[in-house]
This record gives sequence, C-alpha cells and structure tokens, in this order.
Amino acid sequence: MKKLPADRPAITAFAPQKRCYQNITAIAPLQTDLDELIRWQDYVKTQIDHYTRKRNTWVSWSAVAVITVFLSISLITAAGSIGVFLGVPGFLVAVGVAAYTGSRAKKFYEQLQFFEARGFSERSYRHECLSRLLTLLERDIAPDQKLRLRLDLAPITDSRKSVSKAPNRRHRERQNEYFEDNWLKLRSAFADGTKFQLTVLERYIVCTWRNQNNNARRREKHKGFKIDLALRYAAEQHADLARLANIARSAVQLPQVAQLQGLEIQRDRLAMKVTLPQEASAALLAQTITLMLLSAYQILNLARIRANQAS
Amino acid sequence: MRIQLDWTDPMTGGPRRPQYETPVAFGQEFSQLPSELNGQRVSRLILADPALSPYHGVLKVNTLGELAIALRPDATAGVNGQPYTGETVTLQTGDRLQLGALELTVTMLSAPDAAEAEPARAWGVTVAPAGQSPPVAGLASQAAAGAAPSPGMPCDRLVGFLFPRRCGRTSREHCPHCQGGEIDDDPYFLASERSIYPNYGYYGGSSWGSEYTEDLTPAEAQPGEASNYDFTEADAAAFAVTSTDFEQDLDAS
Repeated sequence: MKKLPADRPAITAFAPQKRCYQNITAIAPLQTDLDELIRWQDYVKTQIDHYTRKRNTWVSWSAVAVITVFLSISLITAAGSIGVFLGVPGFLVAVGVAAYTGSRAKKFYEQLQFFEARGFSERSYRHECLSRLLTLLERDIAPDQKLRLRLDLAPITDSRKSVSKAPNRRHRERQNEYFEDNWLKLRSAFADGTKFQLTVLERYIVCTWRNQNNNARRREKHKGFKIDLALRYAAEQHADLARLANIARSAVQLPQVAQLQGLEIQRDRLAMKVTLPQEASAALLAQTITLMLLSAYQILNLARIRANQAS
Repeated sequence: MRIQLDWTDPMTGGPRRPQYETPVAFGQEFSQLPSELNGQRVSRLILADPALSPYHGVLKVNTLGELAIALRPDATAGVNGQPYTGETVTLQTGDRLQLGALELTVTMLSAPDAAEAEPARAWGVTVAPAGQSPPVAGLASQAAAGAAPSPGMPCDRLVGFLFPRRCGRTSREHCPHCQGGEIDDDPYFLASERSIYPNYGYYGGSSWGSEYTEDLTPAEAQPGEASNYDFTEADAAAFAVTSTDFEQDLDAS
C-alpha cells in the first residue's frame, strides 16, 4: 500500500489510537496543543471528504465496467460469430477496466478507513468548550502553574465507553447499549491556592433491533451531560461556611436548561454537581461551567470576607 | 507624551483613570483601530458606546508638541461642551472630551505624575485611595493600571476573573491580558463573561449573602464611599497562604 500521510497531529501527548489527549503542563502549551488538535481535525475532515469523493467516483466507474462485462458475455452467447467478434474484445477491455477501477476504489477505501479511524468525534464542541474555559481560567491561574488535563476526543459510541447492555423496557426484543463518555478531566490550582477539579461526563444510548424483514435497525439518543466541580481550599481562610451552606444553593446561578443536582460545602472543600438534560453547544457548556465557578466563588469570597473580618 | 483619561464607566458606575502613551486611537472595535500611525505604535482605547464609530478618532501630539484630537470622517465629538466635526483641535489638561454619552477629562502627565497610582479596585468599588492600596502578598506595590511595567517591576494590572489578582508579569511580551501591550484598557473590567452572574462579588443591598454582611457595614459609610462588605483585592490576597493539611491532593479527599 502506498505510504499514507502522518497518522497523528504533531503533539506527543495525543494518543491517536485512543484519540485521547493527556498532559500535565502549563496553560500556554495546552492552548497551543488545542489549536494543533483543531487543525488536525480540520485536516482529517478534509481528507475524509476528499477520499469519499474519490472512492465513490471509482466505485461508479467500476460498476459501469462490471455491467459492460455482463453485456459482453450476453453479446458473445446470443449474437453468434458477430457477437464473438465484437464481444470478446469488449469483454477483455471491460474486465481490464473493472480490475483497474476496482483496485483504485479499494485503495481510496483503505485511505478513507485510515482517516475515519483517526477522526475525532463529530462533536467538535469538546475542544472548543475547553478552549473557551482556558481563556477564562488563565486569568486566575499562574502562568507557570501546571494543569493536568485529559481530553477524550473519540466518538461517544467508542467500544471502550460502553458501560452496560440491557433489554429495552418497553420493547423487550430491543437491546439498549449505554455509553458514558468521561471526556474531560481538568485539574489544577488557582492563583489563590484553591485546587480544583472539573469533570464532564456525557451519556448516550444506542438501541438496536431487527424489524419484521430481519433488517438491522438502530436508534441513538443523547442523554445529557453531568458536570462535576470540586474545590479544595484552606479551611482557616474561610469563616462561617457552615452557616453559608444553608443558603448556598440560592447563590448558584445556572443557565435555564441546567439543573443543580448537588452542592456540598465543608470547611475545606466544595463540590457541585450539575446536569444538562440535552445536547449542548460549546457555548452553553462553557457558560454552564463558568457559572458554576462564579457561583462557587460567590460563596467562597463571602466566607473569605468573613474570615478577614474575624481576624 | 503620556496622558490620563478620567471618566465614569457606564457599566460599573465606577471611575476609570487609565494612562496612555500617545497616539491613542479610540473607537468601538479593537480590530478596527490601527496598531501603528506614521511608524509610531498606537495605544488603543475601546469605548463601548453605540454612538461611536468602530474607529472614531485619535489623540496625538502635533508638530508643535501639543496634544490634539483628530476625528475620522463623519465622526463627531465635543470639547468642553462645544461640538465639532472637522479640523484638528488642540487640548489642554482639564479639557473635557465628549464622545457619545461619555465625557472624558484629559490630563497631560509629567514624568512623576505618570508614576502615580490609579487606586486599586475590586468589583466596581474603590477599596483604597491612591497610593494606599493594601499590600498584596507576592504582587506588585507599583500601581498605574494600564501602564507598561517598568523593567524588573511586575505589572500591576488587575486581571483576575474569579477574584481580584494582579498580573505580575515583568514584561508585556506575549501577555494574554493586554496582548503584548496593544490593549491599554484593563481587561479586568471588560467583564462581559462575568456579567452572566449579576452582582458577582457584591453582597450588599438585596444581593445574595447580604443578611450575613449587615454586621460588617460601617455605620458612618457615606453614599459612594467604599464599603467593606464587597470582595476586594485585599480579601483575595489572603488566599495565597496555604496550610500543610491543605496541600493534600484532591485525590486524598
């Protein structure tokens, strides 16, 4: 097979087989890598489009050649000596053309498979969302502070993201496969010393069955996002958190579609869980996470004021 | 020439006193403002007023060494209440420049003036008078928001998003906050992202948490005076201290 182009973006922290980026580095190199990942994704998409067109063209020519082969055979068998005289050369030419076009179609099919296996999830909001977040967070993170990031860009229906299978509740003959895609895990510390961890999990269901004609059928459904934010801070610098915890839920502001599932505040840590019940754009995801951070800090900043006043 | 422009920010209601090196191009859109004029690097001032053009005009020093304002065609402005549209007009310290709904007071700075500080502020609230900003651990005592950091001195620009924090960089090169010195405005106050949480950082009035701040409100506080129940840079500074126990990793929890 002809040598194929580079099989990965120019990023050492990116595993092309898993399509997963994992790194511990400062915020500036992370943003550079994200830009490179976006460029790589654009390149892969372009290549997939290109090879799809090429493959389809050669498959069409191949089909024409095969039809010509059958027509030639019909001519040879049905039209006597004239048929043999015209049909045999036509048959030979058509077989040659069919072989050539078939090999070309196969080659482009292989190249298409190569890029499809390296393409990211169609949901490109992942790195777009992260890119937006990093732009905000860099204002509160020291330039040399390292971030631990795991960004999974493989499609949500990747086999390693399958968590369980069970019959459909309403249609017992149908099989549900449940996917959980923990595609973002970001961990670092803000310049105020507060450590944070942010995880985003996406849920998905694929339902498969066979219809009356025994044809395979498939239906997919997005089941929303689960976003977890955990903060850990110095207890002695935050006062009255136990009292504030009673009213803390009313300090949380979220987009209308988002739901606060849990808020736990202790003397040295805060955990917030939010769900988005539907598919979301990069902007909505980033806005939800931004509001989670602002809500958490609205609470912590008041506790900080109380601690300063007390001291 | 270094100048200072004073105006009231319509978004926050707080005073703005940034300093700029001339020439200063101003308008609504950063991308429309020139980065260079006649070989000189241009300070760019973004004023979010719908009456202004994307590139409205420029403040520059003329051949006589005077500060002058030149408007783009079709742009209008006023100086000391008198509207003008055409020729270049020279300005003196104390002149008031009307741009849309904004009124900017121009001050030409001598070298010592340029080193003086703009007061440190938290979310739209002045928390300390000029020269008396609270000491901030690990951060600069140098002030003058918008001024280029002196060699070896950390930049005093407020850049925090979740909490007030000073930039601390000793060079503007590759700085993401002022884009290598091209944005002379203070990004801390370009708070469009933070505006999704109304009254963020405020705990007075009917804001969240006000019932826990009543005992903190100074009885003698005057209207407009800084109140001590809003989160300030001084509050943020104390965060820097960490305890041994706190150093445990998140995994340990």
